[in-house]
Amino acid sequence: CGKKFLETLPVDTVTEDDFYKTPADAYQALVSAYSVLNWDGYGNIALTSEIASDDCFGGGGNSDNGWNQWDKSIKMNDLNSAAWTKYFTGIYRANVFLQNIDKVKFNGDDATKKRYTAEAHFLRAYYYFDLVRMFGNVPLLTKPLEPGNYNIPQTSADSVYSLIASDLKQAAADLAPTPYAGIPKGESGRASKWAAEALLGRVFLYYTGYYNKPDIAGVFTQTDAIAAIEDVINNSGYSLVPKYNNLFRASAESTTAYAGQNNQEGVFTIQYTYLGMGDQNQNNGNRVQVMIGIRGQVLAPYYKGWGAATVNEALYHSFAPGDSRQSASVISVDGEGFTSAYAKGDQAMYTGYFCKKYTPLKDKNADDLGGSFQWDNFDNYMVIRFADVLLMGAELNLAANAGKAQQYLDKVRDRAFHDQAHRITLSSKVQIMDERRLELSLEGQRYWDLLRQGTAVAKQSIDNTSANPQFNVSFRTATNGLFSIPETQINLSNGTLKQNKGWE
Amino acid sequence: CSLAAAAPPALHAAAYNGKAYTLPVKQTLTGRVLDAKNGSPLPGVNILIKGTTRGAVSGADGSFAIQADPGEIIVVSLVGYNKQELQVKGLTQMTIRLTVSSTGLDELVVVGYGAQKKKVVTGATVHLSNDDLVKNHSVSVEQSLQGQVPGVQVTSNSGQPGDAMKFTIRGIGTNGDSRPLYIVDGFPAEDISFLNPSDIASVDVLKDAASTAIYGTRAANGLVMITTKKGRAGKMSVSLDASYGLQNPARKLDLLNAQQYGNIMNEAYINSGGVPPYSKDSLAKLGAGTDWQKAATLSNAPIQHYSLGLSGGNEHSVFSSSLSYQGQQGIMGLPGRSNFERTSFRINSEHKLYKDLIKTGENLTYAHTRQRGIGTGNIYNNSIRGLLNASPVFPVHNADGSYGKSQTATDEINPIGAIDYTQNNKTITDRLIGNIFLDATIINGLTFRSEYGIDLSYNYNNAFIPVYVLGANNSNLHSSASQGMYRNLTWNWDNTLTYQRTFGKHNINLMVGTAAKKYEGYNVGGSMTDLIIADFDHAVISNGRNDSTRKVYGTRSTNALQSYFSRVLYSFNEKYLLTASLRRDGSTRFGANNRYGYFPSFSAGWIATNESFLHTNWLNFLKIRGGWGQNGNDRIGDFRYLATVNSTYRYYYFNGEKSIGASPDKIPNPDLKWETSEQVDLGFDATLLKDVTVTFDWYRKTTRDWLVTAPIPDLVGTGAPTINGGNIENKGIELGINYTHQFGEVTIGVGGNIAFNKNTVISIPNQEGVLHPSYNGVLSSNMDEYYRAQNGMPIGYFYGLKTAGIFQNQQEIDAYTTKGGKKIQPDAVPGDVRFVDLNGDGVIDGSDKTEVGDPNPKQTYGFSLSAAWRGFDLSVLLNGVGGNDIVDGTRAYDRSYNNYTTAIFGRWHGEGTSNTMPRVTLGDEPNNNYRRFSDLYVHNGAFLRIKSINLGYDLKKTLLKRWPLEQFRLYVSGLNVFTFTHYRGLDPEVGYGIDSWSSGTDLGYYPQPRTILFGLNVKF
Repeated sequence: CGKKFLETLPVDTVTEDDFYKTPADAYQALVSAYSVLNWDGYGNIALTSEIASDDCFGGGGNSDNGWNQWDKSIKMNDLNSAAWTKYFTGIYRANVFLQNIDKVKFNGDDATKKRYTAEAHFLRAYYYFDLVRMFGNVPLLTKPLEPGNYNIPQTSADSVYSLIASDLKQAAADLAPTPYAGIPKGESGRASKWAAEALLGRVFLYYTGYYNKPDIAGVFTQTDAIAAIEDVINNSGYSLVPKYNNLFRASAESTTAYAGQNNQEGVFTIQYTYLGMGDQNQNNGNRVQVMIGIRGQVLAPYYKGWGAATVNEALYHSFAPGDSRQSASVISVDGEGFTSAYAKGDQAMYTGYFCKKYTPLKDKNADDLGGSFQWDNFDNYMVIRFADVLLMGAELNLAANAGKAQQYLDKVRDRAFHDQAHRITLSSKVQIMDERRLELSLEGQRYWDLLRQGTAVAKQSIDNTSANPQFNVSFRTATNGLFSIPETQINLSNGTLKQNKGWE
Repeated sequence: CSLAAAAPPALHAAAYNGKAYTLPVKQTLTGRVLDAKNGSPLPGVNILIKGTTRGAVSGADGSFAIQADPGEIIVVSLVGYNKQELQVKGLTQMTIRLTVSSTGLDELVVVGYGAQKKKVVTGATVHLSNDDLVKNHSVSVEQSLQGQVPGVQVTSNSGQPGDAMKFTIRGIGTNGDSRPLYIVDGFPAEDISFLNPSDIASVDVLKDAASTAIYGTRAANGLVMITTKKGRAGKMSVSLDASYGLQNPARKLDLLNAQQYGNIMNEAYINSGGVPPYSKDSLAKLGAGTDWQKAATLSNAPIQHYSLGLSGGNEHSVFSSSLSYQGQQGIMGLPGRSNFERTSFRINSEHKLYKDLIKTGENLTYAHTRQRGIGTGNIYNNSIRGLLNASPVFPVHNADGSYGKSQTATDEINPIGAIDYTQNNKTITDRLIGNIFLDATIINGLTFRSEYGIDLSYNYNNAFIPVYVLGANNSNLHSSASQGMYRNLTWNWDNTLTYQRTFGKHNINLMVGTAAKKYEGYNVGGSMTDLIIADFDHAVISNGRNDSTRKVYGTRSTNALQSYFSRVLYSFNEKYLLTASLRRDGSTRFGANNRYGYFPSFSAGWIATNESFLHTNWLNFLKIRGGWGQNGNDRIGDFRYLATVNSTYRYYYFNGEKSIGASPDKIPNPDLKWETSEQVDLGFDATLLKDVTVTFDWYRKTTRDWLVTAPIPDLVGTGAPTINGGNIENKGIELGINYTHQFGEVTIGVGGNIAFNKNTVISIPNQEGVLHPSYNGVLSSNMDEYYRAQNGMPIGYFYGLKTAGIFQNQQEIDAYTTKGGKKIQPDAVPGDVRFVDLNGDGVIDGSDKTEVGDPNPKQTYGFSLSAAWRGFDLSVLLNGVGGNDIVDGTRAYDRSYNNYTTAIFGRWHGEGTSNTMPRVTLGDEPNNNYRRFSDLYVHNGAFLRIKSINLGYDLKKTLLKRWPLEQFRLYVSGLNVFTFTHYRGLDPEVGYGIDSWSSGTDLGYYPQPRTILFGLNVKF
């Protein structure tokens, strides 16, 4: 046998040397970064933060402690490792793309190169924003790590936010201003100029609120934020779905009235599918849905799930009479006539209320479609809704242009109540925060909205005492609301990573 | 035979054909050779005139003819018999009676690429004959070796027919695959499930690196050299072996019946602050309830074995062939769900093409196996675990024949229904394995041998899932079928050139060779749902109706190895022995930087009893030997060194339209190199008082540069590289003693072996010095890490909290404080476990965890006893392990309604009632009695097992004397007769572990059957 006998190459993967050459390669590299958006379940920040907020308890089964840990700030083994891994994987894939994009021959098609690059910047910022909100103190990686050199110390949140803001600014600048109506169906869920601008607004409000800063390190100011949000409101083509109920499949008036998975209100929407067909490794299904579904039973029209994130009764009662958002957001077991049909079984922290937005439905359930109810729920998640953009607009304009702020708020409330009789006169930020709680309930915003008002506000809202000790919750001020960094990751860092305060 | 052929010509006598071939005119001496014990003729005996090259071989009737002069000495030898030297006194008809050798010193034993007389072997090897193997009546060769070789540990992962065994030689030396390499008639095989133990002539286990280094990269975990039966010139010999046995579980877990269960559950609810679910009335009505174990036990499950052998030949060609069938039904599950069948045909033959100078032949086996099994895997696929955990308060079947449903919890499922619905799968394998060879003597003493072999297997698997509803969250709405097919081909080509010469008292044997191996695997399969005819018989993909669920996959993989090797064997006057070897291996699994590895070895021996000053009556033979060598290991996946970009599971569906993504799947490591195992061995072999043989070995085996997935932080964002790192040491001693003696008509044999091994991890390549489990939820979905590999500790040791009894009352809880007076377990209530606050910080958490057990046995041992009298024979085999622990994870604590064994009656239920077992709860107590891993889970795993008792009688000796038979033996055997152990689980022989380096985890074990077997051996 000659030397060649031992020289083989894999048949099912390409080597790095042979990749990053064509625009198709570049697109695949970009898609790999998108595909992390779906890594879900325990790594889903919306679920984690809802349970940590005042609106939900842990729930699940009596013997489950996975969800409970967020509710009660219990430090568990490797709590949050799914989120940690997810975000760093997304960041890595975006960084690999950015590192290699100049090797690709676009043959003069600079527009495509510019668009892909902008999308990669958007995704990196998106992942970093979730990561830094949850953990506060994270290493800042702007390119893939060199082999053997993995112990990167945490950096200040300021520099992370500065990267996020500049990534998003580049995305907003380089992505085409195609209005909603002009976006091809097959590109739903792609990062757009509007998504980048809306996310900039959210990042700005969170950072300046939580860290009590006037702007993002000079990279992005209040004026910039107002301009970005105004651009989305005026030019994006996105708008409110006329009836609030029809935003969500579970609360829509009918299957035809449902606004759809990529409707006019979803400024940035994470795409899910049942096409993983029971293969849990595909990670393309919405796994939050099975978690929040009513535990272990099918109460039509709802499908079954694990009963996590049981809803706090207080949220249900916060909606004023006539507010369509109450029945659109929360399943009341008694209120919907399930009192005798419902079997509590081993449901933990049962409140009588479950999340309705994104709860799985019997109609077109994943099992029937050939997938599995565990992995293949497929309802898209609206990360940023136009209503949120309006409320951000109201908040940003509150001081400088109260009229505009009032107008944005009115739009939201008019829809919720189906009339103009329920308008309130906007005079303080607290009103906007209250409105956000109702409008965006159970969508993963509440916890962060509390934190950006300060830990005192967060503690006051989240603390809960009850005759049943199961429901006793106490916000741990010492943590500043940050989550614990997974213990295994700290151990692996050879002492480089430091645990967050209050979690040591 | 392939092995003798590569051996020195002096050992070739068996191949001589009864005719003298030196010319000087002598007189013809004729005679017969008989077995001294039973007087039967012995064919194939070598007869050699001492100091000459004249030789002959006895024929089928034991007769021979040879040219000899009076005064010359004839040397009569046959493998397994004591050699005799006789002086030729006259031209008479001689009758020579040979006695069975108890020491086997002149036996040929197989070494890498050749054979040597046992006497002059300088390595640590153990030789077993077919007789030793068949005593255990095992379906697998591995299991038949259990307890018979010091230093070899064979542990079942499950007792299900056809399930694989864990086989380690001298402790686990790697974090990867620790199986040894099997060489079957010269062909290297990674898996020997095709082999029927009754086809095997002998097994040589090579334990030390000096013996195995000639196989370089492939033998880091030791070598098992298997020789199948060969033909002999002479009359046709026919043998028939048949046995039929009945199997039953040896043990049953003593689980609570329904009423006992109801009481315990009531207590648990009360302790957890709930309302007891069973009223007095309902308790009384519960009765015995369902015995799930019994419901799934298949009593008197048959095990059968039939084998027909045919062998013979003439002076030009010899052959041996066999046709055999083995069938074993499982003892658990539902009828037909757990069984193994193997039908095999084997033919070995050898032909002389030109005199004795050029020979060719082949060894070939075809095996057809069919296997069906129930789940014996992790907590999600373990049927036995389901049976042991199900609450006894719901029926197997409802009155209408449907499966009973739990009323206790929505997520509890009927374990029998689960077997029925989810365990429909079968595997059919067709395998052709064997080699052809050419053996040529070029000039006197110089031989060339070429051997080309293949291992071709087709493996078909098929599974079916019906539409079913077992529980709210356990249902399947669409029937589905999946089918898959693998084709695996390994070819191996060895070429060796051997030069053997004696110069006076110097005997020298030089060998050089090359080897090449290539593996190619193809795999295709698919699945579809909504079958037109929804049953297992019709579970084919094309029966599916729902095209959108059609899934297909196909892969291909290949790897290759290229090797060069050489060896010198030198002996001076059969007194001083030296061996040295060197192998160079190249593997496709490494990049250009480190593709090749070198593996040297040296060993030496001194046969002290060949020194005149050591000639005593009591010490008949003593050989002192020592050796050092290195081996390599390349058993990692392919292309781990290479930077690859992968598309698997990197999809995203924009509005339901699939886009494929691609990103690097790992950090490449172009410097990846071989794992090296280095071993020193010192030992002796002795024969005392003619009948007692003693073998002793001390060894130290160090494995370094493990091929590990580097423990890198997840912030890297991609797969971890495979790196070299980690170092582990196994050291120990092994002792084997055998005694055989004939007292008149009675032959007695007693044997014993014991091995002590100490396993220590030396260095793990990270600052922490710890290798964590690949996955934590082994015992239950939320359990913390319970085993690890860590510097200074045995590999896979159990890592948890230590406990110090049960809190009897509130005062004890209040008094359990740090020095500063801080309560250590403020949330505990009486009846909860007291955990040891190891670091004294006043909090019980992960930093208080420490070693709470070791799954690696410190001792493994075996005993055998045999006796023969006239036609009767009796043998008893025992084996055991000591110094190891088992984690009993049978009961899932995260499901409060699961059943308990009656051991729960020993729980704490009031002050003074127990100091070892906490109170029962629903698993929600703040103290986390079982939710945190502690020594409560750890139990002593030592056991001694009576593995087999065989009693036989040969009718040929009495009733059938006149029949033209050699043997007509009837026997009865008991297998797995009794096990002495403190372990309370179903079986203490628990090999299970998720990582290859972890073991001793009992998640609910498929029990090994206790068998009674009746059999027949006929030869004519």
